[in-house]
Amino acid sequence: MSEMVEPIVDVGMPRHVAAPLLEIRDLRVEFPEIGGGPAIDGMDLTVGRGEIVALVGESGSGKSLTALTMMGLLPPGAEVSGGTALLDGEDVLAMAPKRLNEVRGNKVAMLFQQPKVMLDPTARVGGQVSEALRRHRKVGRREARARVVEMLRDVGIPEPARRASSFAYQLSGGMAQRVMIAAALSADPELVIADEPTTALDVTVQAQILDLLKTKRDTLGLSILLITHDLGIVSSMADRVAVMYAGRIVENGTTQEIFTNPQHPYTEALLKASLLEAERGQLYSIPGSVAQARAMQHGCRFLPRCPKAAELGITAQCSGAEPTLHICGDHDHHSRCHAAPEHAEAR
Amino acid sequence: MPSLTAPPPTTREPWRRVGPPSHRPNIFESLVRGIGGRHWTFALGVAMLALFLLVLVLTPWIAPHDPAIQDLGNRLAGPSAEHWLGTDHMGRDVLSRLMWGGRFSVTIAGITLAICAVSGVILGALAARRGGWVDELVMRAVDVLVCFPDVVVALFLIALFGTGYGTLIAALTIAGWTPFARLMRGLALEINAKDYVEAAEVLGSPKWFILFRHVIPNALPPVAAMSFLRFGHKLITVGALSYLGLGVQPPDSDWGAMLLDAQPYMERAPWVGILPGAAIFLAALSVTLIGQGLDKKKKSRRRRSVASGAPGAPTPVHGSALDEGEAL
Amino acid sequence: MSTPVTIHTAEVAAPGKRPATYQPLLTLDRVVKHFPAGRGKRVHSVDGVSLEVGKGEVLGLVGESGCGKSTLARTILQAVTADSGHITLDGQQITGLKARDLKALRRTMQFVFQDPYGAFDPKMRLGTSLHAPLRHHGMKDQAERAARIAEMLAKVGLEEDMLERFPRECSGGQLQRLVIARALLLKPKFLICDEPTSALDASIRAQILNLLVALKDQLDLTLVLISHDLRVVRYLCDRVAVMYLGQIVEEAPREELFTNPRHPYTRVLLAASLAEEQHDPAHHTEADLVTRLKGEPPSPIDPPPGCRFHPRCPLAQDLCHTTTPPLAWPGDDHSTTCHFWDR
Repeated sequence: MSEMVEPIVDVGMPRHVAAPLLEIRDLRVEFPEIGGGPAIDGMDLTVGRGEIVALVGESGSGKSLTALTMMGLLPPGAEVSGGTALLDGEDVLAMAPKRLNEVRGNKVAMLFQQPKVMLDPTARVGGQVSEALRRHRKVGRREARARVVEMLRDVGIPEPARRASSFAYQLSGGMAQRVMIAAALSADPELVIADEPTTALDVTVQAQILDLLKTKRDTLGLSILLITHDLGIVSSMADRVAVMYAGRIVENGTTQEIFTNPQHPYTEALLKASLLEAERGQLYSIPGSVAQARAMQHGCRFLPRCPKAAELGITAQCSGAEPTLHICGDHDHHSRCHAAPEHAEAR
Repeated sequence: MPSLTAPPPTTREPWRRVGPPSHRPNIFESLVRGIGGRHWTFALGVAMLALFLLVLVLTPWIAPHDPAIQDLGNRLAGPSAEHWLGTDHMGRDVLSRLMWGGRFSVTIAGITLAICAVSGVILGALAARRGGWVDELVMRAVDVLVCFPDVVVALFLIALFGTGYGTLIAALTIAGWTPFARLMRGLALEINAKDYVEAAEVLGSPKWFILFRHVIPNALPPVAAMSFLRFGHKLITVGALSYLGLGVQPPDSDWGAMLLDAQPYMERAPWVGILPGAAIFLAALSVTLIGQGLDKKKKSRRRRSVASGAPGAPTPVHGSALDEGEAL
Repeated sequence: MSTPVTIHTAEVAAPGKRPATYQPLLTLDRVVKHFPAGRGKRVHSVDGVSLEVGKGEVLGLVGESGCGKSTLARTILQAVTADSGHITLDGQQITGLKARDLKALRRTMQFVFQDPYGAFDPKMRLGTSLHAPLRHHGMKDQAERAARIAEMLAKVGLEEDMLERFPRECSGGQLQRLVIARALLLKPKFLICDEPTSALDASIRAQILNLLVALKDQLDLTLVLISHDLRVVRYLCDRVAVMYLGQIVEEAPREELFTNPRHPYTRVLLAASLAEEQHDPAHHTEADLVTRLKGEPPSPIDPPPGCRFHPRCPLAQDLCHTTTPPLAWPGDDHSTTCHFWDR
């Protein structure tokens, strides 16, 4: 594969020298009533300022739960049982509800998979967009309205003045997601968490929405945590990719590294499946499912589905001890696989 | 701000537990679980209703006296060891009469409610499924009948046919089915648009199967909530009619009739009147609390499902005209 | 409002251009389905579609949401009744059938739903959901039904203990396999799959597609695969029809369509779908098309005059605003409706 586009943003300093915007350390979230092991189990993730980080994994890997935890929106029955999540130096997990409310919208905003569900179908679009403005920025009604029209134009909505007074149910999926982006950006957040923002949309619209998000990052210096199951949409979008499996990060690195030099068999498998690669006349698919991995006590959680362990004859090692997330190359490339070399030679 | 509200309940929640449950909950466990997620008033309602029903079922064995035996030497006596709640104007034991009277009140309310719920649900579901003239006929009938309060219909029927249990039940049923029909029609329209209904149609399942096995079962929770709410209403109406002397006739007696009997003696022996009134009130309260408890949980769920649709947009047959063309 | 039926289709009934061995199983002739949209307006969901699906063929039906592809599928399945036009299946006209014949028809064609989570009644055990259609088609013997169900479960790679579960106890992949099993229970010849993988994870998508291919070969099925993802279509389909605002704008065998697309809309779709895997600069011109594609599909309530794609078309000329393009044949088996297909 030839040259990938280098990350465009220039944050001024090497990425990990400046304090990252979001720094998740050893996060644990459990469902004590359901049991079956923690849903998020010792997860580490950093999102630098102005950086787009993609968090990728199958359903059940815990990626959406991570997003909700960061927003302080734990689903019923979930409990944070450990770890910290520093947002701009302040631990989101330890925040009082009131502070959390201030932070949401002001510092972090979220985009969801189904924008139409998130908008109140019976309220006018403009009002829903200006809500955050008026709450967090104490802007008057008239000024808010003017700002809303401006913001709608900004996210590429044609005839923004007319759209502002139409109802949410009159919007198409793509338009609704644009409105959600406008609403999310209305109070100048620093971090946008986008949970499968384009999965429910058409391919043509998907490209437009991703483009829009990227442009916003470039102009506003946003950080974006992009959550998706489809590695396919990540390559043109993210600076870094973190791959999540069964509640843990199994690999992270720059987008280019992940795509050209994946060091964890799960990443490799996900890559093949996402791009619909054919193999011996069949589309490649990952055997088995993520379901039981959480409850595993020993060894690598991907082992039951791993093609590589048997190939390399290291099954014993893999079932004995769980590999750590170790550096396996340059560009901050980490992998949680015994087969990944501890230190790849510099290229 | 819309982006901050709780996420939509997708079935794709990663923490969703996939796989067969270790064991299926029995009735008792589901009852406990059902109470667990609700407001404490719901549990109170369940406890009160359970107590009422237990007493009423066991009345023939536990009632201290025969409710019809008069003791004119001991009229309007206050509570005593012999008569826990005293005696009425004919010297009959008030507690026993409350118990036996409750059996009438609750049975009549129960029977009418059952007829109303079943006919209302079926008519409402039919109206939604068939559409066209069936829908038109049922909904116009609902519109007309809603205008007549139960008591007025009852007075009219009793004037025509005289008093009697048949007339009483008929009077309460004639307009009583309409709220069920209206609720069911709305629910059925929503369920009609579901993929599994379309699947059943495409697989060639007969209409009755879709109606009785898919549409009605999936609409039951809100219908159950409404049944409890209406049950309280029926209890009060039956009491009111009896109080007017148009309901349960002597020698039978229910709470409303006891209230009527007690009226002349309200100053001398207020408990004789207060007790049946309190019984009606508490019984109605218990079912209303249950109904509200069921409804509250239901409502929050329904609001979300409404949010995912597009109210105000045209609702074509099978919801398919705009299911893909959401852009208007 | 002019009836678009007459515009598009005069020449479509010229299948002589196909190979002589081509045997259509399903033929659509100028099928129209509109829905009332209030105030006398109509949603032009399907607006004069003529199509043929050959025996044993996999036809891909591609388009954005709102283009009418799902309505077209439901019209073919007789779940909604066409306003006009004819649909023929295996030589038998299936539009306007009586209830009884319709039930017999249900056995020959079936449907796979987009959202497996909604395709089963949440209050019904999956076993009941699978037994019901067999019973309703006259298979009274419980053991016979169980045997048929077991056979189909084995074909889609599921264990029989699934039958005891409720839909909420299954994963999306399992449910989609069950949807396929249910559709196959009545041994249909013809299967319509409406976005069978778009609600599923990337990792499961491939499993379901592989399953469909295997079943098609095993059971000699004819498939119509509706999708907005051209990568899926490219892998699975023999022929591809591209739909835009209720009409077919281009139709060709797979290789022809992917290597020689003639309608600008097809080119845009191709670029959007395949952009991710192509990192080389040669594709940048096509990728530019996507960014130059203006806005979103216009409303099917008021389709634009002339070529319906002209408001969004990066290549539109004056002619496109006023005149509906006639059907053109860039190849023997390749049709498109664009004025400028040869540029």
